[in-house]
Amino acid sequence: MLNASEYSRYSRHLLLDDFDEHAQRRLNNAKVTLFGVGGLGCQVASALAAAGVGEMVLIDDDTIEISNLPRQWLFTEKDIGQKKAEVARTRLLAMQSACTFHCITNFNDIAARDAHLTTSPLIIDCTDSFTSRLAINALAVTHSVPLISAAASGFIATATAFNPEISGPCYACPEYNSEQSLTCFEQGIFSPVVAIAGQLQAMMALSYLSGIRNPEWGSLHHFNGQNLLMRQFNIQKNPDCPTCSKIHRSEDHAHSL
Amino acid sequence: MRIHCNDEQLEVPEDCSLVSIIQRFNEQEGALAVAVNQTIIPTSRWQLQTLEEGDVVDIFTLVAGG
Ligand SMILES: [Zn+2]
Repeated sequence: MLNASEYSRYSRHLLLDDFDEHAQRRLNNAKVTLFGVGGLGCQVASALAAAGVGEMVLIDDDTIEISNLPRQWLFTEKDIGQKKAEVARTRLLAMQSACTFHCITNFNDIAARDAHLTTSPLIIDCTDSFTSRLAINALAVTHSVPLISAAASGFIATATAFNPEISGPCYACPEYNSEQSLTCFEQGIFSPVVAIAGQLQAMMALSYLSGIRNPEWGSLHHFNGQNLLMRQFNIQKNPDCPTCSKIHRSEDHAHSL
Repeated sequence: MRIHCNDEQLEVPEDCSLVSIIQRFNEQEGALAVAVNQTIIPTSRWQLQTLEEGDVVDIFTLVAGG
């Protein structure tokens, strides 16, 4: 099934329990939509490309700044001022020429984004604000696509996988008081903490896409970089959720037509 | 009755509401996530949720950076 070169390249995957050539093929055939190519996005995109994920949509309209370099390891001093998604594609292609990358550097290009979402079985949210997380969650619910969301600030990293396909909870179910959430601007960020959050996303994404293990949908994984403790909380479906109780999924919509 | 809140033991009245415990932490900055026995309680239920002997409450700041 895998050719000789692929067999050597992914030999350490193939040695894993539960992992076989079929699992590797599933990664090679997988398509993922990634929102944000900053601290989280650099981690997730690198891990997925290196592991052999076949197709990635990189959505980010930001340009690289000097303050990004301590934690956004795909970028170098020479890249300052350039578009993150495009520089990331160049670096990632050098690492994995078999992967197809699509860059969207304009958030208003909704047509391009939605066209990819209909053919992508997984959304990964690597953005940096509560507002964008809520909007991406609404997209995942509308398109009925699983979502892996993570965040990091100060010494805290969190990551959760949501699955609207099985009518599980969504990111908005806890009804957080969003106006008060903390971003890296207010709290700073320690680079290993955001790397851990991104690698938790990569862990869940690669396990899910390869078919070896589903994430625990709705489990909020919480890492504290000050004591290295990892804790787990459970998010439940909220019947009064401002998002998933209100939005009709595209599938439901199709049935009602 | 006794509950645990952020790794501390607290002595609280019977039928103590979750919101009264959260108010003790309202000096914390940012949006709060609140869990009772490891389950996140939606913000709109804080008022109605009552606590029982031995409940474990975790109150932490929600992060949104990346
Ligand atoms: Zn919801």
